[in-house]
Amino acid sequence: MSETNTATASMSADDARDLFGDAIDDALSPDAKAAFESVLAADAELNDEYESYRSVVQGIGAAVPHVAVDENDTRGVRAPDLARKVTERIRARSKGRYFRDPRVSSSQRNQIMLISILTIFIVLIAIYLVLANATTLDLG
Amino acid sequence: MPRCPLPVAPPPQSSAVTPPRSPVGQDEPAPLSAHERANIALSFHVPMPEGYEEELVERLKKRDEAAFVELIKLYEKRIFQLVLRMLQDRGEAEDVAQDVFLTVFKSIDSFRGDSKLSTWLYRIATNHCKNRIKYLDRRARGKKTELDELSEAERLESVSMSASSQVARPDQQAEANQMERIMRRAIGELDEDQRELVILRDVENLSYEEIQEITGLPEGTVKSRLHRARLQLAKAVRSATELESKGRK
Repeated sequence: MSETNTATASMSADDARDLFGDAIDDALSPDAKAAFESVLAADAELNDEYESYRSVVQGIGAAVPHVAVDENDTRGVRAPDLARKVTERIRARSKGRYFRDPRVSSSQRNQIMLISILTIFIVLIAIYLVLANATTLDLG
Repeated sequence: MPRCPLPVAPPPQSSAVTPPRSPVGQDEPAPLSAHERANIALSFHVPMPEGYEEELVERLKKRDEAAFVELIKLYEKRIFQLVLRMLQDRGEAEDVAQDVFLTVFKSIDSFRGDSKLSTWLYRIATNHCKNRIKYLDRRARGKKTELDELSEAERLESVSMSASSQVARPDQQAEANQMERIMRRAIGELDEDQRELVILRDVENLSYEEIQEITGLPEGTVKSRLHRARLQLAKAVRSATELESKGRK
């Protein structure tokens, strides 16, 4: 009892205010808790401050949104389908190097590649022929 | 080598979750609210079979799409919820949650397994959130005009109006909703570091050790910053409540 009295005597309002968090976490030693409670009992303003602090800490959880965990939770926010969106972004950013589009089969991919090569080949031949013609006309 | 099965939905109780703190002198368990159920169901660590996480990480490092989809499915609700709570905006939260998984894809090679995968994910998510909060604050400051005074007046008026509407309909639900709005606004006024700690500790119910792992801050710093943030919140709520009382009169 005398220890508590000594602790109370040496505990200022600021000291007690610093212990608000520990008091809420129930992390005060029995002596510190007794001293803390004595200080609060003797200072109505500080007690109001503590009550306000405590109610805020306990009320934060309810104030922020939560994600619905099941269909019955009507107040919860529905989570988006991140898997599809993220894989699409990776596919687009890596230009198909990662996470190739499953809708394009490997044979389709081969066909696309073959057509691309043929197109490039034809364009190159066309350029060559145009240049060759131009050179022949110049000489003529 | 056969793959470990995909972990099932976490059980309703997890050691990672601190039970909601009950008011002093109230020992009997109160029925769980929706957000408490969400906290328990979407607890910080996903229970996984032995060796599953290591195997998943190996597959992620090989850029295995199926592994990546598995990872997203396991954590998307948790990450989205954390980000939504920090940013308080669905659109921003969805965007940032996607960025979190893109960062995981890009940086998985740097994950050495010193911490749990969930800790690493939460670290990435909170860092993205803090950057987004800073960006949004800068953008909001850049857009500040002479209309600021007007909007402040409107804000005060809306508080008074809500207060008067409460007088007309003084049910407890409306009062609770009003308090939640006040609280949300107060949380939105915290800086990014304070908001991170308040959300991790007072909303996600993480232990100080887990918060230290995520933030890399010493325990003393976590506690003192959290204390300052809570004091600021309490002060903001008190001011708003007083303003309301004046509005009622």
